[in-house]
Amino acid sequence: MLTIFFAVAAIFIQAAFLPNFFVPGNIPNLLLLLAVFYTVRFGFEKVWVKLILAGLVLDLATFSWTGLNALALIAAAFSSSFLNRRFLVIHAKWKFIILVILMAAGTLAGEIVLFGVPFLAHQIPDNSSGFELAVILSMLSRKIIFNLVMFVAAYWPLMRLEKFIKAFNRQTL
Amino acid sequence: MLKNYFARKILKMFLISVFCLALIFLGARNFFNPVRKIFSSLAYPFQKTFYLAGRKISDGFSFFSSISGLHAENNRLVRENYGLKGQVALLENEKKENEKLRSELGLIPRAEFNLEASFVIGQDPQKQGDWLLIDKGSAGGIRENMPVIVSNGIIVGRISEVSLNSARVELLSYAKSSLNANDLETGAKGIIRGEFGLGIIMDMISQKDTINTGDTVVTSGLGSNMPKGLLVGRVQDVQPTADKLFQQAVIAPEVQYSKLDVIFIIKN
Repeated sequence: MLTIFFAVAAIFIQAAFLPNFFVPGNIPNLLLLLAVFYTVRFGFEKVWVKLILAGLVLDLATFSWTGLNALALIAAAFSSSFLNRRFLVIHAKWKFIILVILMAAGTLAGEIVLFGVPFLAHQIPDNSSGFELAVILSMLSRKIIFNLVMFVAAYWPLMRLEKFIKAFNRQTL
Repeated sequence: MLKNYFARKILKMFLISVFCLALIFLGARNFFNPVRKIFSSLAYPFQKTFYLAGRKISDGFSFFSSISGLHAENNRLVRENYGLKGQVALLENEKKENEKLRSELGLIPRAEFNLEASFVIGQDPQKQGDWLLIDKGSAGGIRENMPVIVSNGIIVGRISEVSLNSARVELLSYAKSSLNANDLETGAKGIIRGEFGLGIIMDMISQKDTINTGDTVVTSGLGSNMPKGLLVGRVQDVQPTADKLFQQAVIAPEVQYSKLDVIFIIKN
């Protein structure tokens, strides 16, 4: 129950709170970060249904095409889980650094979906003079940087929150 | 074993992707609009609360960071005030002349706009600032395609989606927006469109037309629901298009869209 409450709060923070503090285009994707974080901790199998639901709610809240954010969250979770299992084994000593790498990979996968699907559907006109490879790369790299900064700022509060949820669940059980 | 695990996982990912793409396909055809309208009505108080809380905190930070400059700012404002008093007297005369000219050109006098004031309660968090969310919807008489301006007649976009208590404003910087406009000084005509959130350009200007840096661009009134004479911005740069058939001008908007608090919807 508490997890649902925090998930809904995260959706509204992403959709309505964060745009006040960042220039459009540089707003960190909080939900994407949470998706990667919880996938790394609990595994893809345990989180994918929740991610689809959260993505659908975010789509409704941000006027995106229904399913777009759900697909982006799933892509981010899957790529980070894939990397985590295949190449990176979480060591306590390197945990934070590895999480940062996974966040970058997850952000890249998620943002490619968020940008690529509308482009393929011709939602972004390809004759736009603003649409150039350099612009796309700069946007993607800015997104990764802002997401990583957000992750670094939110890492310790997130760990505390997780402990709190665990303690709360134990008490209610 | 590990191979099987990944094969199953990839298959699952494929099926989830197909499911999401099917939703996107339906969503792009407005299949979920009724659900979105219900959701918007339910989410409205939360969205408004979170946005206004964020705005207040953001304003608070700006206030503290600007304290050091308050004295200099005050002096500048006092000087500016003296200058403005003189300008007001001059503008009174120009106002009368403007009203006369507007009536001769068949423009709607500004006072005749039926304006509905509305607060901004949300912004596009993911793309490049394509839209704003406002706190007036169908209950307040807002309909799709109504023009949206800021107080002094500067066009910022149009209503693209309406729910009971909120509506989405598609900004001029949205890549798919288009608006007929002309150069106030030279009369050159063109189409205003967004540049993937990076700015605004005036496109399809004939090579025969003259357009200069610093010129004022206003709406031409062609196209449904868009009054003539609303200010779009000023010409920043003019260049020929890649195929050399037309000219293209970069337009500097008069307002910063991400800083808007209050906007007005033209209802008539």
